[in-house]
Formats: sequence, structure tokens, C-alpha cells
Amino acid sequence: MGRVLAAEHDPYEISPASNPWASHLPALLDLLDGLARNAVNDTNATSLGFLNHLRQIEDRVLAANQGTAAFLERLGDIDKLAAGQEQERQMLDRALHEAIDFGARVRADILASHHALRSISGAIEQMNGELVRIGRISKEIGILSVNASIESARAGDAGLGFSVIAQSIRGLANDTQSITERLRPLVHKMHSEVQANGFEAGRSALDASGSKLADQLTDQGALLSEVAQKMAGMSTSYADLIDVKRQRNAASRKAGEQLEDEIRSALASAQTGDIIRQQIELIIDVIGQMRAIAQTAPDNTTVDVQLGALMESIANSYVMKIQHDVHQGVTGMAAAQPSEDLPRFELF
Amino acid sequence: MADILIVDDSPTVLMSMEDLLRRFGHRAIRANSAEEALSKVAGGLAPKLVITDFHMPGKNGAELIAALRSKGSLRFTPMLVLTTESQRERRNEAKAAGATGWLVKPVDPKQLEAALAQLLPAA
Repeated sequence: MGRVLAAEHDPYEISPASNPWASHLPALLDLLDGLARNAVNDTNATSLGFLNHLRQIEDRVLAANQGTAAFLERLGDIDKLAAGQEQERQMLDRALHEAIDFGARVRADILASHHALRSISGAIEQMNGELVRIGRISKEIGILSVNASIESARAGDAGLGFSVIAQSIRGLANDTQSITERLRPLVHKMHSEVQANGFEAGRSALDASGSKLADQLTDQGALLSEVAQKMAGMSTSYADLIDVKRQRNAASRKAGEQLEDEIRSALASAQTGDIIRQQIELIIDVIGQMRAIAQTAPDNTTVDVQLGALMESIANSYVMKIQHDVHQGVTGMAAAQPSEDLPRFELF
Repeated sequence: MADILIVDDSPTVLMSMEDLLRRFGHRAIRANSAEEALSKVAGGLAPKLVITDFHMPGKNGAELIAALRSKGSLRFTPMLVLTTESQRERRNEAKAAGATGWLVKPVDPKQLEAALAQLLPAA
């Protein structure tokens, strides 16, 4: 951007050399030209920078909106899956309660059957014991009747009646013994059958209940397996959702930070407009000083001195690169250093 | 949160600085000239920080700082001068008038944040 001022390039054509305007005005005008160029360049840079920031903001907003739309779409699927999972969970809950109730009923039935069979078996055993006692008693009565017959024979005629009674008693004892003997195998058979067939029947009932229970548990196992698969799918979906959410959160946070930086940069860029205004005001100020010198300086020597002072003031004040180059090109003197070396913030 | 008086004749700079200060958790009180700033201080405003442009119609930034320093309530209040890169000489002038430091326009948000952290550590 710096201009190289050749000696033959003098668009203002002011001479002769004795006139101090001839030696200073072209350089001053070149410096003013540099200032104006700075203003134009800054304007362009500001506009481009501002547009660039706004474009980046727009891109980030669009990206954020797309991410949000995808996230909401994914969230809709998760809602449907969650509703289905809830239905499956309710079905499973009902099936499990049915299984528990059925098992409880089967257990109660089996326990009741065993209890009844045990009670019957006990009664038959007790009955068998009583029959044994009856048999023993009838034998003792038989012996007593024999003894009574012997005693009645010793009594002679007086014992004839008693002998008849003794014989009748022996006959009853024999009958009782006979009935007892016949009953004992029957009771034994009943006891054996209760012991064998009764408990066998209980086992059969248990087997039938167990089979039914097994069938139900098989059905519910299949249902549980299906539910488990859906739950696994649900877990995967939830994991995906959490991952997507985490990614979206991270992306949103990053996008937000970038957006904030862009907005701050855009706001900072807006300040450059004011810098340009001040540069133009400085140009106007320099022109005003030149006009004052032209109007008030009493002679060429004074003009020479004042214009020289003005140039040095500009050189010391304006440190932008282009003015630095122009100043060196015109005067051959080192101007103030370019601004890149200066800090942008300092506490005194 | 601190009240910060921002003085500039440019509406763009005022708007920009106000927004930046708000983002950093502070409240900006705007004045578009040194005279308006002095009037607000005379009305009882006691900002924790003053940030003023240098080049303004009427009193410039250095003159404003000198005037504010003469007020007892703002004698020790930090005051920053906003300058452009081409106004290095003005910084010295501002320093002589009592400025605490300077910021180059356009103000970099991070440097403004750093300046606020140094000047308003408790805010």
C-alpha cells in the first residue's frame, strides 16, 4: 500500500524551488493521500470484517437449528419407544402377578391334600391298634369263660346256670375274635392303599399342577424374553439419546461461545467506523492548519518552518504502516514505529 | 456489578461498549460528551470506573479526566482513555491529566475484560 514517490512524479506542478510550498506541499498532500487511503482501506476492512462476522453468526445459527431439529426428531422416536416399553412393562407385571397367584394356589392345594391324607392314614393306624386290643380282649374273655365253666362244674347243680352263661360268653368271645381277625386284613389293606395310592395321587396332582405351572412359566418366560429384548433395545436407545444429548449440549455450548465471540468481534468492528471518522477529522485538521499557514505566515521562511513543524507533527502522530512508508519516501526520515509494536491496553 | 461511565461522541462506540460491559456483568452509564459526563457526576453519579474517548467536540478526554480528578468523589476512581492507534501522543497527554491507562479502539473484548478484572477486582 505504501507509495514510492519518484522525483519526476509531481502532479501538483508547483515551483520554483524558492517557494517553500513547492518543497512541502507535494509531500503534505501525499501524506494526506495516505491518510485518506487508510480511511478507505479501514472502511473496506471494516465492512468485510463485519460481513464475515455476520456470515459466521448466520452459519452457526443455521447449524444450531439443524442440530436442534435432528435432536427433536430423535427425541420423538424415543418417546414412541418409551410408550411401547411401558405397555410391555405393564403386561409383564400382570403376567408375573398371575404366576405368583397360581403358584400360591397350587401350593395351598398340595399342602391341604397332604394334610388330609396324613390325617386319614393316622386314623387307620389308630383303628388297626384298636382292633388288636379288641382281639386280645376277646381272647382273655374266652379264657375267662373256660375258667368260669370249670368253676361252675365244681359247683355241681348250683353251677349249671352259670355254666350256660359261661359257654355263651365264650361263644361271643370267639365271634368277636373271628370278626377282629377278618377286619385286620381289611384295615391293613386300607392303610397300605392310603399310604401308597393316596400319596401317589397327591404326587399326580402335584405333577399336574406343576405341568400347568411349567406351561405358564414357559409362556411367561417367552414374554419375559421378549420384554428383555425390548428393554435392551430401550437401553440402547436411551444410551444413544444420552450420547446425542451430550453431543448436542457440547455442540450447543461451543456454538454459543463461538457465537458470543463473533458478536463481540462484530461489536468491536463497529468501533472502527469511529476510528475512520477521527482519521478524516485529522485530515480536515491538517488541511485547516495548512490553510492557516497560507493565510497568516508573513514570509516564506515562516511558511517553511511551520510546514516543517506540521510534517513532523503528522509523522509523530500517525503511526500507521502506510503513513510510515509514505513519510520515509517523502522525507527520508524515520517516522514513528508502526502500530503492531504497541500494546492495545496498558495501565500507566 | 459496577456502574461504569462511558463517554464518547460516537453512538456506535457507546452502543458497542455498553453491550460489552453488560456482557461482562456491569452497567454502563452513557454520556456523549465530556460536558454531559460532568453534568451527570455533578448530579450525584459516582461510577466505579470511567472510560472516555480522547477526541471529542468540546472538552477532550484529557480535559474531562482533569476536571473529574478535581472532584473529591472521583479523585481515586480509575479512568481509562480510548485512543486510536494513530494517537500515541495523546496517551501521554491523557496520562499527564490523570488517566489510569488506555485502551486502543477498536476495543478487544478480552483486553477489556482483563482491564476490568484489574481495575474492578471486587465487582
